[in-house]
Amino acid sequence: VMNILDEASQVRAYSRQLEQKSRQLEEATRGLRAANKQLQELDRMKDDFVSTVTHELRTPLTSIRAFSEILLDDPEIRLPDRKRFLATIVKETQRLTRLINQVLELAKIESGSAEWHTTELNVKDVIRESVETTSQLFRENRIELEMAVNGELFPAVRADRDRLMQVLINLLSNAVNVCRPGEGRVEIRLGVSQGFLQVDVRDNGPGISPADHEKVFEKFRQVGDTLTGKPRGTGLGLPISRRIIEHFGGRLWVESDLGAGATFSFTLPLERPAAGAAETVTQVAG
Amino acid sequence: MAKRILIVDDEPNIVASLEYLMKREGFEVQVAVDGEAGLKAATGSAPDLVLLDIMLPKMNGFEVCERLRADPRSRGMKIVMLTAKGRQADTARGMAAGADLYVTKPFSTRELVAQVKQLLSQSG
Repeated sequence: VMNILDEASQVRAYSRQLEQKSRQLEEATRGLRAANKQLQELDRMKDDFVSTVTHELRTPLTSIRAFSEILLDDPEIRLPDRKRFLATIVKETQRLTRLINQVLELAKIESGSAEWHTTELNVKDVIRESVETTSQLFRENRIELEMAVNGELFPAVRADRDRLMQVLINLLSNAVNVCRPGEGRVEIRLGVSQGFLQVDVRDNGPGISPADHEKVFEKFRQVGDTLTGKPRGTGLGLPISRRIIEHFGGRLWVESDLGAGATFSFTLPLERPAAGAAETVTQVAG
Repeated sequence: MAKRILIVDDEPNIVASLEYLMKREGFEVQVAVDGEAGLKAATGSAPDLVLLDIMLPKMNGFEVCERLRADPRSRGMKIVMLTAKGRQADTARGMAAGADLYVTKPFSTRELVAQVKQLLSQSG
Protein backbone atom coordinates (compact mmCIF):
# COMPACT_ATOMS: atom_id res chain seq x y z
CA VAL A 1 0.00 0.00 0.00
CA MET A 2 2.82 2.34 0.90
CA ASN A 3 4.30 1.79 -2.55
CA ILE A 4 1.07 2.74 -4.29
CA LEU A 5 0.67 5.86 -2.15
CA ASP A 6 4.29 6.79 -2.91
CA GLU A 7 3.77 6.39 -6.61
CA ALA A 8 0.59 8.41 -6.54
CA SER A 9 2.28 11.34 -4.83
CA GLN A 10 5.21 11.05 -7.20
CA VAL A 11 2.87 11.19 -10.17
CA ARG A 12 1.17 14.25 -8.64
CA ALA A 13 4.56 15.89 -8.17
CA TYR A 14 5.56 15.16 -11.77
CA SER A 15 2.20 16.40 -12.96
CA ARG A 16 2.67 19.68 -11.09
CA GLN A 17 6.16 20.06 -12.58
CA LEU A 18 4.79 19.47 -16.07
CA GLU A 19 2.11 22.08 -15.52
CA GLN A 20 4.71 24.54 -14.40
CA LYS A 21 6.91 23.82 -17.40
CA SER A 22 3.93 24.17 -19.69
CA ARG A 23 3.11 27.60 -18.23
CA GLN A 24 6.74 28.67 -18.63
CA LEU A 25 6.68 27.57 -22.25
CA GLU A 26 3.50 29.52 -22.89
CA GLU A 27 5.05 32.62 -21.43
CA ALA A 28 8.22 32.17 -23.46
CA THR A 29 6.15 31.78 -26.62
CA ARG A 30 4.20 34.95 -25.84
CA GLY A 31 7.48 36.76 -25.32
CA LEU A 32 8.84 35.51 -28.62
CA ARG A 33 5.68 36.49 -30.48
CA ALA A 34 5.89 40.02 -29.07
CA ALA A 35 9.57 40.29 -29.98
CA ASN A 36 8.81 39.06 -33.48
CA LYS A 37 6.09 41.64 -33.88
CA GLN A 38 8.51 44.36 -32.78
CA LEU A 39 11.12 43.20 -35.26
CA GLN A 40 8.57 43.20 -38.08
CA GLU A 41 7.55 46.71 -37.10
CA LEU A 42 11.19 47.86 -37.09
CA ASP A 43 11.68 46.19 -40.46
CA ARG A 44 8.68 47.98 -41.86
CA MET A 45 9.91 51.30 -40.43
CA LYS A 46 13.31 50.71 -41.98
CA ASP A 47 11.64 49.93 -45.30
CA ASP A 48 9.54 53.06 -44.99
CA PHE A 49 12.60 55.14 -44.14
CA VAL A 50 14.56 53.76 -47.09
CA SER A 51 11.60 54.31 -49.36
CA THR A 52 11.15 57.88 -48.14
CA VAL A 53 14.85 58.67 -48.44
CA THR A 54 14.89 57.29 -51.98
CA HIS A 55 11.91 59.44 -52.86
CA GLU A 56 13.45 62.55 -51.29
CA LEU A 57 16.74 62.04 -53.13
CA ARG A 58 15.08 61.39 -56.48
CA THR A 59 13.05 64.59 -56.31
CA PRO A 60 15.85 67.17 -56.67
CA LEU A 61 17.57 64.84 -59.17
CA THR A 62 14.48 65.04 -61.34
CA SER A 63 14.68 68.80 -61.90
CA ILE A 64 18.46 68.63 -62.24
CA ARG A 65 18.13 66.09 -65.02
CA ALA A 66 15.10 67.67 -66.69
CA PHE A 67 16.56 71.17 -66.86
CA SER A 68 19.97 69.90 -67.94
CA GLU A 69 18.39 67.99 -70.82
CA ILE A 70 16.23 70.97 -71.76
CA LEU A 71 19.32 73.19 -71.92
CA LEU A 72 21.27 70.61 -73.90
CA ASP A 73 18.48 70.09 -76.41
CA ASP A 74 18.00 73.77 -77.14
CA PRO A 75 21.21 75.82 -77.54
CA GLU A 76 19.06 78.72 -78.78
CA ILE A 77 17.00 78.92 -75.61
CA ARG A 78 16.18 82.46 -74.45
CA LEU A 79 18.71 83.89 -72.02
CA PRO A 80 16.30 84.57 -69.14
CA ASP A 81 15.11 80.95 -69.31
CA ARG A 82 18.65 79.64 -69.51
CA LYS A 83 19.66 81.63 -66.42
CA ARG A 84 16.57 80.53 -64.51
CA PHE A 85 17.08 76.87 -65.31
CA LEU A 86 20.77 76.91 -64.48
CA ALA A 87 20.05 78.64 -61.16
CA THR A 88 17.51 75.92 -60.36
CA ILE A 89 20.00 73.19 -61.22
CA VAL A 90 22.52 74.74 -58.83
CA LYS A 91 19.96 75.14 -56.02
CA GLU A 92 18.69 71.61 -56.39
CA THR A 93 22.24 70.29 -56.33
CA GLN A 94 22.76 72.09 -53.03
CA ARG A 95 19.51 70.72 -51.69
CA LEU A 96 20.51 67.21 -52.70
CA THR A 97 23.89 67.61 -51.01
CA ARG A 98 22.29 68.82 -47.77
CA LEU A 99 19.91 65.89 -47.86
CA ILE A 100 22.62 63.32 -48.42
CA ASN A 101 24.72 64.76 -45.59
CA GLN A 102 21.81 64.73 -43.20
CA VAL A 103 20.68 61.23 -44.07
CA LEU A 104 24.21 59.97 -43.48
CA GLU A 105 24.42 61.91 -40.20
CA LEU A 106 21.14 60.47 -39.00
CA ALA A 107 22.12 56.95 -40.01
CA LYS A 108 25.47 57.27 -38.24
CA ILE A 109 23.94 58.58 -35.04
CA GLU A 110 21.18 55.97 -34.98
CA SER A 111 23.48 53.07 -35.72
CA GLY A 112 25.85 54.20 -33.01
CA SER A 113 28.74 54.64 -35.40
CA ALA A 114 28.97 58.42 -35.17
CA GLU A 115 32.15 59.80 -33.60
CA TRP A 116 31.57 62.05 -30.64
CA HIS A 117 34.27 64.48 -29.54
CA THR A 118 33.06 65.28 -26.06
CA THR A 119 34.78 68.07 -24.17
CA GLU A 120 33.97 70.48 -21.39
CA LEU A 121 32.10 73.44 -22.87
CA ASN A 122 31.00 76.91 -22.00
CA VAL A 123 27.52 76.89 -23.51
CA LYS A 124 27.40 80.69 -23.53
CA ASP A 125 30.35 80.72 -25.93
CA VAL A 126 28.79 78.12 -28.19
CA ILE A 127 25.55 80.12 -28.28
CA ARG A 128 27.45 83.29 -29.17
CA GLU A 129 29.25 81.44 -31.95
CA SER A 130 26.05 79.99 -33.41
CA VAL A 131 24.44 83.43 -33.33
CA GLU A 132 27.47 84.76 -35.18
CA THR A 133 27.19 82.00 -37.78
CA THR A 134 23.51 82.66 -38.44
CA SER A 135 23.76 86.45 -38.26
CA GLN A 136 23.75 86.84 -42.03
CA LEU A 137 20.60 84.74 -42.34
CA PHE A 138 18.93 87.01 -39.77
CA ARG A 139 20.11 90.15 -41.61
CA GLU A 140 18.99 88.90 -45.01
CA ASN A 141 15.51 88.19 -43.71
CA ARG A 142 15.42 91.26 -41.49
CA ILE A 143 14.61 89.22 -38.41
CA GLU A 144 15.50 90.65 -35.03
CA LEU A 145 17.51 88.45 -32.71
CA GLU A 146 17.78 88.97 -28.98
CA MET A 147 20.28 87.05 -26.94
CA ALA A 148 19.53 86.76 -23.24
CA VAL A 149 22.72 85.16 -21.98
CA ASN A 150 24.64 88.07 -20.58
CA GLY A 151 25.97 88.73 -17.16
CA GLU A 152 26.02 85.36 -15.45
CA LEU A 153 28.49 82.56 -15.00
CA PHE A 154 27.01 79.29 -16.09
CA PRO A 155 28.42 75.92 -15.05
CA ALA A 156 30.24 73.91 -17.68
CA VAL A 157 28.73 70.95 -19.49
CA ARG A 158 30.27 68.07 -21.36
CA ALA A 159 29.24 67.73 -25.00
CA ASP A 160 30.43 67.50 -28.59
CA ARG A 161 30.94 71.13 -29.53
CA ASP A 162 30.37 70.78 -33.29
CA ARG A 163 27.15 68.87 -32.80
CA LEU A 164 25.88 71.27 -30.15
CA MET A 165 26.54 74.08 -32.64
CA GLN A 166 24.58 72.07 -35.21
CA VAL A 167 21.58 71.92 -32.88
CA LEU A 168 21.70 75.65 -32.14
CA ILE A 169 22.08 76.56 -35.81
CA ASN A 170 19.18 74.23 -36.66
CA LEU A 171 16.90 75.90 -34.09
CA LEU A 172 17.96 79.42 -35.03
CA SER A 173 17.58 78.92 -38.78
CA ASN A 174 14.21 77.19 -38.31
CA ALA A 175 13.10 80.24 -36.32
CA VAL A 176 14.23 82.60 -39.09
CA ASN A 177 12.46 80.56 -41.73
CA VAL A 178 9.08 80.60 -40.01
CA CYS A 179 9.08 84.31 -39.26
CA ARG A 180 7.73 86.92 -41.62
CA PRO A 181 10.60 88.97 -43.10
CA GLY A 182 10.81 92.35 -41.40
CA GLU A 183 8.39 91.41 -38.62
CA GLY A 184 10.16 88.48 -37.05
CA ARG A 185 11.58 88.40 -33.56
CA VAL A 186 13.69 85.56 -32.24
CA GLU A 187 14.94 85.30 -28.69
CA ILE A 188 17.52 82.87 -27.34
CA ARG A 189 17.70 82.37 -23.58
CA LEU A 190 20.00 80.43 -21.32
CA GLY A 191 19.10 79.35 -17.81
CA VAL A 192 19.65 76.73 -15.13
CA SER A 193 16.92 74.43 -13.91
CA GLN A 194 17.12 71.43 -11.58
CA GLY A 195 20.59 70.30 -12.40
CA PHE A 196 20.27 71.06 -16.08
CA LEU A 197 21.26 73.89 -18.33
CA GLN A 198 18.28 74.95 -20.44
CA VAL A 199 18.35 76.81 -23.75
CA ASP A 200 15.16 78.29 -25.22
CA VAL A 201 14.77 79.56 -28.75
CA ARG A 202 11.56 81.52 -29.13
CA ASP A 203 10.09 82.87 -32.36
CA ASN A 204 6.99 84.93 -33.11
CA GLY A 205 6.08 82.89 -36.16
CA PRO A 206 2.75 81.20 -36.90
CA GLY A 207 3.16 78.66 -34.09
CA ILE A 208 2.51 74.93 -34.01
CA SER A 209 -0.73 73.33 -32.88
CA PRO A 210 -0.37 70.91 -29.93
CA ALA A 211 -1.44 68.05 -32.21
CA ASP A 212 1.69 68.63 -34.27
CA HIS A 213 4.16 69.10 -31.41
CA GLU A 214 5.60 65.61 -31.78
CA LYS A 215 5.16 65.52 -35.55
CA VAL A 216 7.80 68.19 -36.10
CA PHE A 217 10.36 65.78 -34.69
CA GLU A 218 9.44 63.03 -37.15
CA LYS A 219 11.80 62.33 -40.02
CA PHE A 220 10.94 64.11 -43.26
CA ARG A 221 7.82 65.59 -41.74
CA GLN A 222 7.21 69.17 -42.83
CA VAL A 223 4.57 70.88 -40.76
CA GLY A 224 2.75 74.04 -41.70
CA ASP A 225 2.40 75.97 -44.93
CA THR A 226 5.36 77.15 -46.84
CA LEU A 227 4.11 80.73 -47.05
CA THR A 228 7.16 82.41 -48.47
CA GLY A 229 9.43 81.16 -51.20
CA LYS A 230 11.97 80.14 -48.57
CA PRO A 231 14.23 77.18 -49.28
CA ARG A 232 12.46 74.01 -48.28
CA GLY A 233 13.98 72.18 -45.35
CA THR A 234 14.96 68.54 -45.55
CA GLY A 235 12.66 67.51 -42.72
CA LEU A 236 15.62 65.95 -40.90
CA GLY A 237 17.03 68.89 -38.93
CA LEU A 238 14.88 68.46 -35.83
CA PRO A 239 15.04 64.64 -35.66
CA ILE A 240 18.83 64.89 -35.83
CA SER A 241 18.95 67.66 -33.21
CA ARG A 242 16.80 65.62 -30.86
CA ARG A 243 19.03 62.57 -31.17
CA ILE A 244 22.09 64.71 -30.51
CA ILE A 245 20.61 66.25 -27.36
CA GLU A 246 19.45 62.86 -26.15
CA HIS A 247 22.94 61.52 -26.66
CA PHE A 248 24.17 64.29 -24.37
CA GLY A 249 21.64 63.20 -21.73
CA GLY A 250 19.16 66.02 -22.29
CA ARG A 251 15.73 66.58 -23.83
CA LEU A 252 14.52 68.65 -26.77
CA TRP A 253 10.90 69.72 -26.97
CA VAL A 254 8.61 72.49 -28.20
CA GLU A 255 5.97 74.62 -26.52
CA SER A 256 3.67 76.40 -28.89
CA ASP A 257 0.15 77.25 -29.97
CA LEU A 258 -1.18 78.29 -33.34
CA GLY A 259 -0.87 82.04 -33.69
CA ALA A 260 1.32 82.33 -30.62
CA GLY A 261 4.83 81.63 -31.87
CA ALA A 262 6.93 78.68 -30.73
CA THR A 263 9.62 78.01 -28.14
CA PHE A 264 12.03 75.17 -28.79
CA SER A 265 13.87 74.19 -25.62
CA PHE A 266 16.61 71.74 -24.81
CA THR A 267 18.40 70.73 -21.64
CA LEU A 268 21.96 69.62 -20.97
CA PRO A 269 22.94 67.84 -17.76
CA LEU A 270 25.35 69.85 -15.63
CA GLU A 271 28.66 68.30 -14.65
CA ARG A 272 27.88 68.78 -11.04
CA PRO A 273 24.45 69.78 -9.73
CA ALA A 274 24.24 73.54 -9.14
CA ALA A 275 25.13 74.21 -5.53
CA GLY A 276 22.70 76.07 -3.30
CA ALA A 277 19.19 75.50 -2.04
CA ALA A 278 17.09 77.47 -4.48
CA GLU A 279 17.24 75.92 -7.94
CA THR A 280 14.84 77.78 -10.13
CA VAL A 281 14.93 78.73 -13.77
CA THR A 282 17.17 81.75 -13.89
CA GLN A 283 16.02 84.02 -16.65
CA VAL A 284 18.53 86.67 -17.41
CA ALA A 285 16.95 89.83 -18.76
CA GLY A 286 18.45 90.71 -22.11
CA MET B 1 -6.88 72.58 -81.69
CA ALA B 2 -3.93 72.19 -79.34
CA LYS B 3 -4.03 69.26 -76.98
CA ARG B 4 -4.28 70.12 -73.31
CA ILE B 5 -2.03 68.63 -70.62
CA LEU B 6 -2.80 68.80 -66.91
CA ILE B 7 0.24 68.62 -64.61
CA VAL B 8 -0.46 67.51 -61.04
CA ASP B 9 2.65 67.79 -58.85
CA ASP B 10 3.50 69.68 -55.66
CA GLU B 11 7.19 70.23 -56.43
CA PRO B 12 7.50 73.71 -58.00
CA ASN B 13 10.74 72.93 -59.85
CA ILE B 14 9.40 69.74 -61.38
CA VAL B 15 6.23 71.54 -62.39
CA ALA B 16 8.35 74.27 -64.02
CA SER B 17 10.35 71.76 -66.04
CA LEU B 18 7.27 69.82 -67.18
CA GLU B 19 5.43 73.00 -68.04
CA TYR B 20 8.31 74.28 -70.15
CA LEU B 21 8.67 70.92 -71.86
CA MET B 22 4.99 70.54 -72.75
CA LYS B 23 4.64 74.14 -73.93
CA ARG B 24 7.74 73.70 -76.06
CA GLU B 25 5.99 70.81 -77.79
CA GLY B 26 2.99 73.02 -78.52
CA PHE B 27 0.60 71.76 -75.86
CA GLU B 28 -1.62 73.87 -73.65
CA VAL B 29 -0.74 73.44 -70.02
CA GLN B 30 -2.72 73.49 -66.78
CA VAL B 31 -1.25 72.98 -63.31
CA ALA B 32 -2.62 71.66 -60.01
CA VAL B 33 -0.48 71.36 -56.88
CA ASP B 34 -2.43 68.88 -54.80
CA GLY B 35 -4.62 65.81 -55.34
CA GLU B 36 -7.95 67.49 -54.70
CA ALA B 37 -7.19 70.39 -57.04
CA GLY B 38 -5.93 67.90 -59.62
CA LEU B 39 -9.15 65.88 -59.52
CA LYS B 40 -11.23 69.04 -59.78
CA ALA B 41 -9.21 70.35 -62.72
CA ALA B 42 -9.34 67.02 -64.54
CA THR B 43 -13.08 66.61 -64.25
CA GLY B 44 -13.71 70.31 -64.78
CA SER B 45 -11.71 71.17 -67.86
CA ALA B 46 -11.28 67.74 -69.46
CA PRO B 47 -7.58 67.75 -70.39
CA ASP B 48 -6.42 65.25 -73.00
CA LEU B 49 -3.67 63.91 -70.79
CA VAL B 50 -2.74 64.11 -67.14
CA LEU B 51 0.82 63.94 -65.78
CA LEU B 52 0.11 62.71 -62.28
CA ASP B 53 2.48 62.56 -59.33
CA ILE B 54 1.70 60.14 -56.49
CA MET B 55 2.97 61.82 -53.31
CA LEU B 56 0.54 64.74 -53.28
CA PRO B 57 -1.02 66.70 -50.44
CA LYS B 58 -4.73 66.20 -49.71
CA MET B 59 -5.21 63.18 -51.97
CA ASN B 60 -2.56 60.87 -53.37
CA GLY B 61 -2.14 60.13 -57.08
CA PHE B 62 -3.47 56.56 -56.85
CA GLU B 63 -6.76 57.81 -55.49
CA VAL B 64 -6.99 60.61 -58.05
CA CYS B 65 -6.42 58.07 -60.82
CA GLU B 66 -9.00 55.64 -59.47
CA ARG B 67 -11.61 58.35 -59.19
CA LEU B 68 -10.93 59.61 -62.69
CA ARG B 69 -11.35 56.09 -64.06
CA ALA B 70 -14.57 55.63 -62.13
CA ASP B 71 -16.00 58.82 -63.60
CA PRO B 72 -17.52 58.36 -67.09
CA ARG B 73 -16.47 61.88 -68.04
CA SER B 74 -12.78 61.07 -67.60
CA ARG B 75 -12.66 57.40 -68.41
CA GLY B 76 -11.00 57.97 -71.75
CA MET B 77 -8.51 60.53 -70.44
CA LYS B 78 -4.87 59.54 -70.81
CA ILE B 79 -3.16 59.28 -67.43
CA VAL B 80 0.60 59.09 -66.99
CA MET B 81 1.81 58.48 -63.44
CA LEU B 82 5.05 60.33 -62.95
CA THR B 83 6.61 59.55 -59.63
CA ALA B 84 9.71 59.05 -57.52
CA LYS B 85 8.13 55.96 -55.97
CA GLY B 86 9.66 53.14 -57.94
CA ARG B 87 9.00 49.89 -56.16
CA GLN B 88 7.33 46.99 -57.98
CA ALA B 89 4.35 47.29 -55.67
CA ASP B 90 3.92 50.94 -56.62
CA THR B 91 4.03 50.27 -60.37
CA ALA B 92 1.52 47.46 -59.99
CA ARG B 93 -0.75 49.67 -57.94
CA GLY B 94 -0.53 52.46 -60.49
CA MET B 95 -1.47 50.24 -63.38
CA ALA B 96 -4.25 48.66 -61.29
CA ALA B 97 -5.55 52.15 -60.58
CA GLY B 98 -5.97 52.59 -64.32
CA ALA B 99 -2.91 54.54 -65.42
CA ASP B 100 -1.96 54.30 -69.09
CA LEU B 101 1.71 54.63 -68.25
CA TYR B 102 3.91 54.61 -65.18
CA VAL B 103 7.13 56.64 -65.37
CA THR B 104 9.66 56.89 -62.54
CA LYS B 105 11.56 60.04 -61.69
CA PRO B 106 14.17 61.16 -62.65
CA PHE B 107 12.79 60.75 -66.16
CA SER B 108 14.27 61.30 -69.60
CA THR B 109 12.69 64.40 -71.14
CA ARG B 110 12.97 62.96 -74.64
CA GLU B 111 11.32 59.70 -73.68
CA LEU B 112 8.54 61.41 -71.79
CA VAL B 113 7.76 63.72 -74.69
CA ALA B 114 7.75 60.79 -77.13
CA GLN B 115 5.44 58.77 -74.90
CA VAL B 116 3.07 61.69 -74.34
CA LYS B 117 2.85 62.29 -78.09
CA GLN B 118 2.19 58.63 -78.74
CA LEU B 119 -0.58 58.43 -76.14
CA LEU B 120 -2.20 61.56 -77.51
CA SER B 121 -2.12 60.25 -81.10
CA GLN B 122 -4.01 57.19 -79.87
CA SER B 123 -6.99 59.26 -78.76
CA GLY B 124 -7.13 61.01 -82.15
